[in-house]
Amino acid sequence: MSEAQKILVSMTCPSCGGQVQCEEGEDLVLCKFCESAFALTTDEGANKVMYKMTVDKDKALAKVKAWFGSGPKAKDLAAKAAVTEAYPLYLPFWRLIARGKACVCGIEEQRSGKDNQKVEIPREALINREYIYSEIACEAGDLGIQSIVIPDRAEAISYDDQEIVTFGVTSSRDAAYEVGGKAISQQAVKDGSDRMTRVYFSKSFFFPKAFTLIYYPFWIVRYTYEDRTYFATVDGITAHVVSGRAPGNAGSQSTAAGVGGAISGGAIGLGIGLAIATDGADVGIGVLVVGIVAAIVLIGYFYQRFRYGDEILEGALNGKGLKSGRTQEKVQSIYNETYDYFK
Amino acid sequence: MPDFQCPKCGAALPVKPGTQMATCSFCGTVTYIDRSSALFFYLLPFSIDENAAKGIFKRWTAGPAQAKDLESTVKITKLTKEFFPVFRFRRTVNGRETVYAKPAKGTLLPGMQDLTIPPGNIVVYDAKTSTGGAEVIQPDITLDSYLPELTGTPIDQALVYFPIYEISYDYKGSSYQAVIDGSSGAVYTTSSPTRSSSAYIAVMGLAFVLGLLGGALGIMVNPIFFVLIIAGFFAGKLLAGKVVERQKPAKEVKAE
Repeated sequence: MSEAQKILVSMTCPSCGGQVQCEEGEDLVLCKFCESAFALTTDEGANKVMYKMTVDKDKALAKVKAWFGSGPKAKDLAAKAAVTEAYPLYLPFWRLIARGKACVCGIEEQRSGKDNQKVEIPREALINREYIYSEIACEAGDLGIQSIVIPDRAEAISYDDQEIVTFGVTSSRDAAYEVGGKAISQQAVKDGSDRMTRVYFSKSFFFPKAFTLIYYPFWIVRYTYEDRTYFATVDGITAHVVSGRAPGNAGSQSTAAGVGGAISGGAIGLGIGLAIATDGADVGIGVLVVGIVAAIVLIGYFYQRFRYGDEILEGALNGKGLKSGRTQEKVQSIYNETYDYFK
Repeated sequence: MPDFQCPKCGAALPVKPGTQMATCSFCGTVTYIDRSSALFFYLLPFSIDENAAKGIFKRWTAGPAQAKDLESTVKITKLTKEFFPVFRFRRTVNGRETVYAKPAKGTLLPGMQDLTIPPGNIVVYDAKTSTGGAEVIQPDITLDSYLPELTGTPIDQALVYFPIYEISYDYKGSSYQAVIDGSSGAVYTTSSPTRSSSAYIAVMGLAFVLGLLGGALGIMVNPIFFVLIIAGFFAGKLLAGKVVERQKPAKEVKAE
């Protein structure tokens, strides 16, 4: 017997010695010969679910082309970008479905009446909802994907890693479970404290329902523009562009600088002018305060577009660039499974 | 890695990475693979070829954080395609599965310190695995040197080779290093020529001052001064255009 053979253990029934059939992720086995049941104390595997890719290459490429034309991307991107490769890929995700329960007590501040008097209303919320947590089970690298929402029409297929490239799981199952549970508990508290100005007490729990390893399909599209290589990823079921990098539009960068600077300056200038012209009357001061607040928001927004607009980042990507679109949150609540109570 | 044989019938038994059960396709016997004392060799193949790696590097040099003339003046002095070895330990610590990654070779390469195994299609590495012309860096740290410091009981341990492009480049007489993950395309650097934000702040500041004067004087003195807000916009846009304008590398001037 070679060294390698020593690590193989054939699975036989401890009471009758017959062969047993079991699969990855199972923890209970029934012997088909003597009908005795026994527990497996192997390293816990995870149940795997794989979803069927329904978007073909042409559709994925068409979506990426449409994405080229959206947002402040280089004007000639659609015309000059050359797709160098497009390939399907399955990415692994840990998914925890659990009921999140939270009790949150606090107060809500309201202003009412003519003199804007502050009123404190005590609030209590009991949250009882089903949540789904999902997190990528390998390093995110430069994929820009951290979480998924599985659409209702997704079709589960048996796990089979023969044809399509599947990225390997590198993160710990137990760590993902723990982080997921914590995230669900926190989300339950957050949902309960929605209307509260201050929270005085909160307690939360999660009751796990299912923990699964999901393999979800994507298209990875790499393209070049001015000899630079960029990419986009397309959801293999909904066909949405999930993440990507794209060259920015210099014209909209400079417009952002002009608009942001001049308008915010003008807003504060108007306020100062009015405040002085009205000798510090409420109207003038009011316009000044509104002007300053508006100016800060405008400067922040337009400066980002100007300074980092050279590259557009879609999805959860690292590095400098203008973030566009929204990043998929890791926790979602299932709305038809809520039994909340608010007072 | 040696091939396995079914302990019951002796037929070849393929063992997939990351699984703990294998079923013999001939006799149907299920075999449990006790990985706790063995070292498995895995490899993440390159999914980014050399040209794409150069393109990703060029894209990175054009990014908003990098020096403005980096893309047009940078010179790649060395580009090597290699597999970098990392030990991955999966252990049960206090009843929890915990994953550790430890370098199997001492290195100062950017991004190799935090040692995350990049996302990729993990395959078994044996004599038959194609390395696509990439150099396989041999480990110089042994597995045994890590075992005493690890807590818990082992589930499995593996030596994972992951694909990287090591790039050396020159900019204004200094030499820098970058690493591109050959599987997902992430760029790692420690230090790199960066771009100052002062020109950006100055341009927006000018537009702001003109707008401020326009607003204030327009109200207090004469509405004609509102024109300054519009002037601020155009001055800002014009100067901003200069700030964001790219120097085209000389070779792009060539005719089609």
